[in-house]
Amino acid sequence: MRWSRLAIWVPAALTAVPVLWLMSTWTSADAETWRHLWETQLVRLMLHTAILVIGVGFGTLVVGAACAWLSARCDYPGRGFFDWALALPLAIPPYVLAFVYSGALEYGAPLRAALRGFGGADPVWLSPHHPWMVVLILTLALYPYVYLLARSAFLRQGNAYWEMARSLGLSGRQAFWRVGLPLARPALAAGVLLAVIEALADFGAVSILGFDTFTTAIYKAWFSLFSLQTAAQLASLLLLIVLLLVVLERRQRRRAAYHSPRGAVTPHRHRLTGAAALLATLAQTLVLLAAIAYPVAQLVAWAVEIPPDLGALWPAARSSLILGALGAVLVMTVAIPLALVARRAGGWDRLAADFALLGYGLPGTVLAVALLGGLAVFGDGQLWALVARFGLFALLLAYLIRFLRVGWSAADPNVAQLRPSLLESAAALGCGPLGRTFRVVLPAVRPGLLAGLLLVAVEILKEMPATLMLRPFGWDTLAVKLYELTTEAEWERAAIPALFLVGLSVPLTVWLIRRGR
Amino acid sequence: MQRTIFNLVAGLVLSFPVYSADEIVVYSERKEHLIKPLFEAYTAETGVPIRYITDNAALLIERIAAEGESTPADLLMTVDAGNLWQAKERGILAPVESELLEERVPAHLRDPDRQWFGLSQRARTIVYSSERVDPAELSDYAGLADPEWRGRVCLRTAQKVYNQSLVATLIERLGEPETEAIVEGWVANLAAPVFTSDTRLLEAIAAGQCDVGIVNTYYLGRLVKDDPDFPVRVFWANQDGAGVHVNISGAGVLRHADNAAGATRLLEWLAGPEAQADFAGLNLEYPVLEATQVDPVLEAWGDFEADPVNLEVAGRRQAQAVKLMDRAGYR
Repeated sequence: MRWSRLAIWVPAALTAVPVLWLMSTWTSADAETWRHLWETQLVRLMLHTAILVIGVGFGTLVVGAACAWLSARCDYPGRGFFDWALALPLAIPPYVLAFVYSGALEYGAPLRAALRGFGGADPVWLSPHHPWMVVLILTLALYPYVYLLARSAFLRQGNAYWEMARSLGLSGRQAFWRVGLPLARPALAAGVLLAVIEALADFGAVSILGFDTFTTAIYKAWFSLFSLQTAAQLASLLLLIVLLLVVLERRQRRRAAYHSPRGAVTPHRHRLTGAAALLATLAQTLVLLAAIAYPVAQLVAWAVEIPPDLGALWPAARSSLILGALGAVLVMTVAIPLALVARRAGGWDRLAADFALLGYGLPGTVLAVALLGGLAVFGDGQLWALVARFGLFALLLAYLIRFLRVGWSAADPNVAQLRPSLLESAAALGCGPLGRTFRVVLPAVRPGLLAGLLLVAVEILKEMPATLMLRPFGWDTLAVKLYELTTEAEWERAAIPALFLVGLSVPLTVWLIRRGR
Repeated sequence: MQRTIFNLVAGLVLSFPVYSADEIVVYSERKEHLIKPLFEAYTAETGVPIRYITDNAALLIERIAAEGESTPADLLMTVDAGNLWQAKERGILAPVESELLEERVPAHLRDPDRQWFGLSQRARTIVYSSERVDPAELSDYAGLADPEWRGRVCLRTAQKVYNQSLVATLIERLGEPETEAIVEGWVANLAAPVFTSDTRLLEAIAAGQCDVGIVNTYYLGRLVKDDPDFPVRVFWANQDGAGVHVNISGAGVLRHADNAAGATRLLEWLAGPEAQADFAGLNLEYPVLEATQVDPVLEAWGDFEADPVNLEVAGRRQAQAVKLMDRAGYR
């Protein structure tokens, strides 16, 4: 066996700990709970989930890809600002966006009251639990994944293909649809997949908005019907759906190869003028208003109502940052070798790599309990004593399993465009495997590595359920503080930790985008 | 530089928690800002340090079960009776022999087998718009199912345990068929899709989206404290029948507690005269210990008869209640 295969099989084995525990619950089934859920709600919940997945997938693709193309390939007034500002919503956790909008869109809110006064009837489509609104809110929270990945893909394309396309007689629009967009497909797919899986596994935002999805059934079985077994079985079905999406996505682009043209240079930008420039500026302003400006303004308005207990928030902010940094380094240390080896892997190796990336599809709470269950099985309860003493071990392991896909998504496009001929030339010139890693591979994946570190760090800052369950004493993060307050609808008190959280994530996000210029 | 980073990481990951012998460790579903002041007062009075961690009760129960004998926790604190019942079912609680607790906590607010004890009461009753409803029209929970309330009722989601406990006690009193008819009546009378929080529900009544609803009174208390003219009032339900449905925030000592004696003393103190006013009062709930001073907002609402059914029914019939609500279309 070649040692490089460990890069796949080690993370796969780690992911197997919670997944196998979930699978082990299938040895029997609580038929009564299953029948009840099936007869009363499963069909409706699956329909809701389908709406969410299709809506968020389509929404993030359109918003993310359009903004990315404008940012990477066009020029218009204010582009320098939009470049980085459009990535900022990444700093806002979906559940924070949800609680801001659930207040802004309730019956008594000024906007709805005004529309009632105008037309008479209450605009129900504007209420926070309307499917269309839920899709919109999650799209606003999740489009930055697509934007960031697509933007760097568009930038990497360089000029050559575009000019070839134009010289062969394609109009600018045709060239976009037939060359620019298809070339960025791996990045677009990776981004949309991240957004869709996040929406699938989300419980925080949808439960604040009052929109029941498949995850609602998981928590109903567990918390209300006291059947953790059924909850685990439902969660393993969710994983199956995720696996299906992943495999479908790759089957579609099987055998296609994407390599950068030689000597990729900063692409020529298409200068927008007149109505087109105005439209670009206006549309992106609207996105920014809805996704970050308004939510932050609302949080500030709430925050000034309550005198902040800053003394309790600093330690929480510190915990968040330390966990973010440790987790990000851990995830990327595993993600880069995985991306490299998985690229050229086939058969079982390929499947194991997909499996290793599956953790993102587990709702945080389910992952946490499955991980605890899995670890407890190993040591007959005794290992758990060890794990408990090791403090952060279980939590960092959960971050690794859950966010490996995020790190991998950031690294993979770089790896994908690392032309095999480059490595072959290096080998032909007598460069050994170690030399190739440090002198060829690492410099090539550096942008992806940095992007991955920052993305994962922001994800960990926002992560709530697994942190809640697995944190040792004294490791309350900002997200933990937020949980305390949002579950009791104390929005005003929750505003300050929320602002702290956004405040920590914003510099990371700005740095992320500035590097990619 | 590398060495510093290594030391930092090693230090963080390997930092063994230091326990002091008489320390008490609490796993709490009750929120930090409601327990921290009390724990600090206890430490100041007795010198016993308390450490705690907060999370959802179902998750704390799984955590305790996974930790097994090596659990650092001594006490589990929840904000409803159903989860305490579930903790007892899972075998993670231990019975507590304490005359003080039996004297201070009324019998229907504690486990018949002495495994958990209520520390504050949370009344779940009917609220109405002071502008559009005459309280003489109101009677009991079942009354909200009458056709005269069509399009005027607001309810919180059935996924919230408070509603599950309420329906569980209704089943205990009235039986399943009658309760199901009542819940169906509620659903038929809804003015809007169910709400995700009692606060949003109260705001909806104030804004005119509906006229009546069922909430825990402390949510209204908070709004009234901010705005004394808030146009929603409390109606004590079921006063001609069984009484208002109350739930508890309570706690139980863990089977694998290292410091069961310390945890029991903390429980006794929390149920005692020094702590009761604050334990309940910080969240505008009702104390379990009689003759404890309550907040002026609560005083203004007056006294009420509470349903004396033992709260273990909230856990025992919870799954039944959830299924009934699912069948009745109450989401």
